[in-house]
Amino acid sequence: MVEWTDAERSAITGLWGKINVDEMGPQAFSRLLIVAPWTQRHFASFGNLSSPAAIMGNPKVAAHGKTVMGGLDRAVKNLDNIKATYAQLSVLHSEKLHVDPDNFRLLADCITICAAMKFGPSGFTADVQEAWQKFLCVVASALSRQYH
Amino acid sequence: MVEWSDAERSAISGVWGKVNIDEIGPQTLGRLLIVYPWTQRYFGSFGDLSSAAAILGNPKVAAHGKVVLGALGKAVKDLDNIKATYSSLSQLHCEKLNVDPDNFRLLADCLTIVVAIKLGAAFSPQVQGTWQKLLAVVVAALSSRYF
Repeated sequence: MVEWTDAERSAITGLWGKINVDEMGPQAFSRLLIVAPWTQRHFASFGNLSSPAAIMGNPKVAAHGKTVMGGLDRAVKNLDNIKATYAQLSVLHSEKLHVDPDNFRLLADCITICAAMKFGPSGFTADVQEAWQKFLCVVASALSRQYH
Repeated sequence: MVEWSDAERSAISGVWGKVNIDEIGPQTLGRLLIVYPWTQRYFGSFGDLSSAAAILGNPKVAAHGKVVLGALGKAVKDLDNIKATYSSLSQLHCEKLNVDPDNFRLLADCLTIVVAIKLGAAFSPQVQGTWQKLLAVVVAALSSRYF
């Protein structure tokens, strides 16, 4: 089972408390689609993804960004039980959505960049970065867990 | 060979123009050693790496961070020749330093985060995409002499 120090728990919940899901979700998700354009293949029904401007202005992208980012809330509230928390979502992504699990890491990286930009050098210190990336790594691992 | 559009060349020099090697280098290497602590194994001679504060205050870490980031400048100045530029550095990292090439990606990720913090809103998604392309090419070049 994953061990969290008190400092890590505090860093993760502290950061999460200052994150606006409605703002960061769309930003992170748009970056994924722009920086790693092959990920657009999962979103053929979203309409116009033909340029960065189109992606950043696309309401379905924004809505889905909020959904995905909001999903992290359960992990923050259940740090000692992330694997079980995401068991069903993992089955969904594997069996129904057929998402390559490497994409979870790509989205996590985009979320991390958005957090770094938002919180700057005093908010996103090296210690906070360590805790946050460990957290997202555990989330990605839990989402990949039911694939085989 | 890697193709660079005019927009990409412009974005890269724009970012690099705002990078102070003496500031960004130490921060990047410091974060690598803190966030991915197994990387400390390559720096046994650097002294105290026992805590985040020790790492961030360590003068050998700072000096080496500047060396590494200075080497990235060679890629920025010669975008069309990155593989050749890093050929001997690649051999050095493989044959002499025995560095697992996966660590190049980890360092690149830390650098991207430090640059994002520094540039703020100027680190748009398009700029991020171009910057990550540059680092991917550099990582590939550094890995190219491994086999």
